[in-house]
Amino acid sequence: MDDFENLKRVWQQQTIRPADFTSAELKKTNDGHQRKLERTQLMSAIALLLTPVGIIWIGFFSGITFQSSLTYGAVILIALIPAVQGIINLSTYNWLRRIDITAPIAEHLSQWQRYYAFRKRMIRFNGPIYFLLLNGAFALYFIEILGYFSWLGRVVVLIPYVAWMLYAYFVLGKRNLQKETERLEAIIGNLQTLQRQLDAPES
Amino acid sequence: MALLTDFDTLHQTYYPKVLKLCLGYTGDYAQAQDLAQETFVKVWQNLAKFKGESLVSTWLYRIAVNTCLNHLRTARHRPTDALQTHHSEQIAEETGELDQQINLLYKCISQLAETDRLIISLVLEDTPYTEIAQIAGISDGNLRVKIHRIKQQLTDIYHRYGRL
Repeated sequence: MDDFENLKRVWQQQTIRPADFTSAELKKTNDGHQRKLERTQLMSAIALLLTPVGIIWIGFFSGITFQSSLTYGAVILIALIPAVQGIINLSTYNWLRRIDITAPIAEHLSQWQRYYAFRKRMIRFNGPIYFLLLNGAFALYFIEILGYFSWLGRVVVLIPYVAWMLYAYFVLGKRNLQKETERLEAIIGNLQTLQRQLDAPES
Repeated sequence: MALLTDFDTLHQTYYPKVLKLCLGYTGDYAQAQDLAQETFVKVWQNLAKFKGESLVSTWLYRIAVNTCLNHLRTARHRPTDALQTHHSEQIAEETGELDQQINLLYKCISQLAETDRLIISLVLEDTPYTEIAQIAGISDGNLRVKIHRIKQQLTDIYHRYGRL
């Protein structure tokens, strides 16, 4: 291994310039891929958990009275569904927070693999279920509300709503779902490659 | 205040080593600088959690290595010619001959598998094997065999360039 010792000598003779950033500057930085992911989950969780507050106020404290208990039920559902989604996003945020950058490589890679496998399951099932439940709740809400409208009014309210929802689900949603699935599969593939490199039994 | 001093000391002591590790991994000076910077941001963020259960160097290298590997999540890096230019720019006092050898060494390292690049960079830095095993989270025995193979691979690649 004399050859390798020569390479080591070359490596150790390098002169590396000091960092062109100070430690004080570093402490102000709060960035990085993981932090961005965490922030996204936290912000969406906060928004989703605050949404029900407004909906409950409109439904029960704003002075608007509904004739049907079904409509009140719909209001509760419209408030409850985002709240549940907010809790799910909050648990995703906590999951991310638990990923330990100081863990041994093998363990750290496993943590990311588990997280991305979970994300893949989530976008496959969570998105569509959320969409269907929320629209189901709105359908119940519309039963009474649209009764106050003329036929023309109903058409004006319902057609854009249904058109937008169908477009959002079948065009935008499907496209994003496919893109996100491909991205996650690529990431999982990369992580598995690294894990295999590390775990490979050497002969 | 002691913590601040510790961080400053860590930053000064380990920055060159971490930058070389990142250079060995990316083969690109600008990317290596970004990764080294990101590493020390994470060191700062996690310093309060350091319990002294391992050597501080082990702990810090784990952060550096994991930061490098996380970089792969968005892109797979391949050796680039940019290394020749960027790396030359930061060499302060080497002779032209040594400069060429260093560039070539990085070029050879960048042809290894990702985790192998990181392991061999730690070996070149004279990091003890037991510490590398703790950084990687693999057994001593497996690591020794792995290092033997990587050394062989690296010298073979270097030979192909007719330099040894």
